[in-house]
Amino acid sequence: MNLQKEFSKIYDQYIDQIYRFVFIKVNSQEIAEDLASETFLRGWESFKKNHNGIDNPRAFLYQIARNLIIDHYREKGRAQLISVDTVPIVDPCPNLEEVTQIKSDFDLIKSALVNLNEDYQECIIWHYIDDLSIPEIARITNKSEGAVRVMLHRALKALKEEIENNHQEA
Amino acid sequence: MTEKDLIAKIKELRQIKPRQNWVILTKQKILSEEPEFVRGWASVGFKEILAGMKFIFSHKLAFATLTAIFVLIGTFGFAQNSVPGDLLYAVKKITEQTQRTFIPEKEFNIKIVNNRLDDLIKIAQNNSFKNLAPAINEFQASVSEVARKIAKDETKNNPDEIKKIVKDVKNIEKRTIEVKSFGIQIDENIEWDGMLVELIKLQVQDLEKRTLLPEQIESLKEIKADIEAGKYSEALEKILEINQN
Repeated sequence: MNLQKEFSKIYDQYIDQIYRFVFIKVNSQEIAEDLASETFLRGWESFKKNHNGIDNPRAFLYQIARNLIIDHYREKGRAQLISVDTVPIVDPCPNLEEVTQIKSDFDLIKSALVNLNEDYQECIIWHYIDDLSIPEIARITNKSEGAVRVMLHRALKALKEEIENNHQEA
Repeated sequence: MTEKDLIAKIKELRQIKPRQNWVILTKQKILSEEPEFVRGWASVGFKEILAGMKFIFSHKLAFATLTAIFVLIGTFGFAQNSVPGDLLYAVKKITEQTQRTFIPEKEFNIKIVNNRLDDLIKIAQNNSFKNLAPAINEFQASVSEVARKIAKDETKNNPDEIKKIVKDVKNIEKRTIEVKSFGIQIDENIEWDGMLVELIKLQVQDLEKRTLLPEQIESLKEIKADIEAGKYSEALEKILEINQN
């Protein structure tokens, strides 16, 4: 099968997930677009050289994205701007009260997630938002499946505590 | 908020999507770009340079070799006292690795963890705080390695093998507590905890198949409660006690 066609399918399949993963971690549409674009560019370079060696394109792309985010923070310094204005919500509900409530919960979760440590953030994003399995996450993070299960359990607990703390402060 | 509610709210973050025109433009850009690979390897003629060096130094080579051997022996000797962060620590690690040939892999990995614990105790006793951070990192790396190896080890399904592993693991836990008593802060190691949970569960399964005394049955209940509470060390201690009786 033509390489370009094959990678095009991979792009269509994972662009939303990779963008979302990057966006949640960097909290900026502009930076998320840059890094997500770079992820797929590097993915395409590797795919051209060795497409038979990439048995799990999703895991592979996540690893690239992860490394790019680390490099980004290393260069720019860690300055987390909790901006709630740049989220493109698709299909907003017509009812204003519902919109406000949904946006409020949404922002609460997003703010709380950003305050967790990197490993916990990633576990939650991959497992609950992107539906990655435990073995897939273990593979991306190079940890055992047991370690991933423990981490997920602790990540949820930490997120819950973070949300409760934010609620009390509000 | 229940866990179910929390997960439902997390899933709402799926609403985050990229701009469609950006998606299309990026795809076009990536798949139509042909990057240029510029390779600029300078070919310097290494063989010619080496031949020249050999020609110049051949008369003094024998003496230089002997000197090098003595320096090496001295270096390896001094290196054994080094700790992470020291200049000669890399040499110590190389020496450790050579022992891999003579010791079974499982024992070797445990030995490395114990060596790192020895390093931490030495640092605490000498108050050499500059070495603390690298030593903790080295310790954590060795612990993660052991955890990963145990997780993949298929012989751990053998009851006798499990007992041996549990003993080694408990010993590491005990020594880690000893190191922490010096005031050294060692963070949780998620690989280690994951491995402990799996190991303890295997032991619990094995114990449930056996005929236990009333006090052992009680102990088993406590072990299960310890697992729920995340008290893995206590659970392990109780398992060892049951196995010894």
